[in-house]
Amino acid sequence: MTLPHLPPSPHLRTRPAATRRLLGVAVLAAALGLTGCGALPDRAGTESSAGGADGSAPAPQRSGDDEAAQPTADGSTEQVAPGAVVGTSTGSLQASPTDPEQVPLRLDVRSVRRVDGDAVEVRFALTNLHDEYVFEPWSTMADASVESGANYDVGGAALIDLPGDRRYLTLLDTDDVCLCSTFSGGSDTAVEPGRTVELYAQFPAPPESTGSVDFTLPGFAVVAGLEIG
Amino acid sequence: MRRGSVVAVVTGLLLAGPVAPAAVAQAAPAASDRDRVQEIVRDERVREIVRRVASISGDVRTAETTQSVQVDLSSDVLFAFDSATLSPEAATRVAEVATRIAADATGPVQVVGHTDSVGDDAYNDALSEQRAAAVAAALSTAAPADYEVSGRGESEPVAPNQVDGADNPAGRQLNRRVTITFATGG
Repeated sequence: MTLPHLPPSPHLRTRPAATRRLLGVAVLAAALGLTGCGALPDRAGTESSAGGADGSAPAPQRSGDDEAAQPTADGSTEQVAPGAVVGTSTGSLQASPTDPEQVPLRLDVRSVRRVDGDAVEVRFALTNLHDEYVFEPWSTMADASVESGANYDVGGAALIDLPGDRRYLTLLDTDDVCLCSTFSGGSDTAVEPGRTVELYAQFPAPPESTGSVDFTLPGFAVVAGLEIG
Repeated sequence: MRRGSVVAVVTGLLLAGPVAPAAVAQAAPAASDRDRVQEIVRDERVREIVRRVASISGDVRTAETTQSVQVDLSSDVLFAFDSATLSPEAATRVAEVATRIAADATGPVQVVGHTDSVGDDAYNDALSEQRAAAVAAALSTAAPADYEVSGRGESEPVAPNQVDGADNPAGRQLNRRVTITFATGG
């Protein structure tokens, strides 16, 4: 997919409307003692953002985030310590399909584990390091070679075994939808400045003899030397 | 986009319940190799997981389910430019595929050649078939099986040969390939 290049313009910024309202809600929520509801304690700063614009009590996590952080079928989420980081890198991606601003992001790999179905699951988090731009997870992280019904996903992630000369691509179902976090797109799944979104992706499992792999995600430096748990 | 429409047809068929394979073939007469893997799975009425593994260079790309395997070998590592004679470097890659066929293939093995969009159709059709035949001949030595050879020329790209009207060498490289597909019987 190639998008028309748009010159940076303050008019394209997401912040003025969305974030100002966000700050207002946060202040009001703090005043009412509503922060820290802790729906997902490892998702920094998300608690106060989901309240309605009318200042009502914060709602549960937005549906898009819930989808992105969905646990695997084997219920393995409990085994990942909240906030655990086994590898980190940084990168930057375009803010949204219509905003060419590059948003700096931090990639924290939380776990790399073998799971049922002869697969390896990587749990990782993206944190928006920009001080004002919202980041919409969109097709820049998808696998460009796959035309699936869910183009907003992290299907472009891969595990690399350099000594074994293997690149393990995300698992797909037979409709070409990856077994990974998907997004509905748009502001529903936007990551506000300073916030973190929890994601996952599954890959074919390397042989048992492969003890460590590198993790790649489009737009980010490789996270090397990850032990497979 | 064509693949997207095929997938839509596949989804519709799944929702509609059992359908004769003949109807499937009619709905997607020009199904690409990847689609063929999906058809094998769909005919079994099972939603399966596709496992994709590539070499670091991308010269070998494998997509498999519990019932079928598809291997894409880059023509760039198999052949010299405009040639249908296997290069010395091809031996290792071909041997790897032959080992897999000997171990797991349960029926005929389709070997299909593809080119990029450079050159006229007739030339590309002939070159792709000759290349497929060369690969099949090498495979059959190590792994006797029923090999079905064909050449599709430039008609089934897996990547755009051009982007916004400009040449796309990376896409053309992906399109120059020989695809080997076989059932593994689940």
